Amino acid sequence: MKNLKIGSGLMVASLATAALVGCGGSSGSNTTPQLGRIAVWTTSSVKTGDAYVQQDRLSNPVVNEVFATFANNRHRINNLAQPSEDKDELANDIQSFMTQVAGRSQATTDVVKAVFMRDTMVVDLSSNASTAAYLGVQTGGATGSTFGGRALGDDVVDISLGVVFGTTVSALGLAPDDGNAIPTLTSDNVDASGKQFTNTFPYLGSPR
Amino acid sequence: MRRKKFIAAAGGAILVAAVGVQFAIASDHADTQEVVDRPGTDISDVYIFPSPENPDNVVFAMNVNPLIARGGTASFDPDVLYQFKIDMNDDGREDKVIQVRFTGTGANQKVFVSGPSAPNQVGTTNTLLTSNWTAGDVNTPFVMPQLGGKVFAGVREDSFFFDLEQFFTILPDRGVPSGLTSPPTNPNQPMATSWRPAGQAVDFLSNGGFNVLSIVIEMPKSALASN
Repeated sequence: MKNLKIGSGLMVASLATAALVGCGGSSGSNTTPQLGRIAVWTTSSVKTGDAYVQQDRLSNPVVNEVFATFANNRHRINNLAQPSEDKDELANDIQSFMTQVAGRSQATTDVVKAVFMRDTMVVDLSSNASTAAYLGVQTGGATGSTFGGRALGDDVVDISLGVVFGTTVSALGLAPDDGNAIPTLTSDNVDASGKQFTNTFPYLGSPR
Repeated sequence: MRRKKFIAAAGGAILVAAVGVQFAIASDHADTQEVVDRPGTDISDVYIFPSPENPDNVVFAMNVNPLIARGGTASFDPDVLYQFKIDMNDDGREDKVIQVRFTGTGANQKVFVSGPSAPNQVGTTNTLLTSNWTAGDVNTPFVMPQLGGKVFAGVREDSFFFDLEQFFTILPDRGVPSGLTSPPTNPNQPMATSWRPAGQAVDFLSNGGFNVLSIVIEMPKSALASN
């Protein structure tokens, strides 16, 4: 996967632990506020009486969009769910897509489930890295930083395609190479060139 | 996700381009009809990164209402509550929320922000936080004094980049179903076997110059510490 910077010194065992532990939270037993792992998602909710009812949910990019079909209401069901329900819903979408469409092994599929479930953006606030890196917590920093989150310029499409269709999972030592990678699907051949990101608040580029 | 229009390279390209535009306009970032029909609810991207201005701060950003045409504008939906939900203990349920809402329309919209605070209710039906709301104007950064943070809500360049058009070619089910002339029998059946090569692949947003409505909140990392 062209966008994953995989360092040769990374420990396979620690990577596997990082991937499968996911969001561990801060486990300190003292009462001093601790910066630790958080897991974040966004919602939009429509006013209904005095309350607001969830209509859309988004965290990681191109997860629900790729794995869940529009048919059979799968995409809609995930939009209306909360992350604690992903094990009963999104998990089945990932299972179907990875094994039937992408043709990957169950071992590879299980790693993808561990990385993308729950569908939350994992951030390690204790990391002193100066930049974010999509899936950085789950991969032990292999995507560029242990902060995780998502930077404006992260090529999240290519990172995701590498996980689903490429050899990223086996290259990280998380599952044996199943020999079923599809190299023609591992990059959309589009990058961030042309975007107007800035280093000053609010960081997203001025409107076109 | 999003995409743009096609580079004509063959006789059939005009038809392909027309279909591509229809998908791009109709389906925004490949979301369902219910969400597309109410663009103010349509969340297209989420970002979380360390502040480039202050290493003690973290930045949360969410984009909504994608595919605003170049030079155009849009309003945040005043009947929609926008939230960042934060799980601090790994149970997939929110322990703190940041809530953002709007009044009015167009350039006169007011922005109201509260949090991060414990929510009144956990789950998919929520009510407004009861205190510590800070108000500002759209398209103008403002500070949240109690938080030591700052807020921007307004029109920005869409920051996403992706060959959306080819994605719809590969998996046409992920377009809005009504836009399909012949939906695949198996919605997961890929209808193409590769992305377009460099030089032919197109980021429809860069090339089309689309905008979004962005909500950007910068706050001290300590506001999200665990006790």
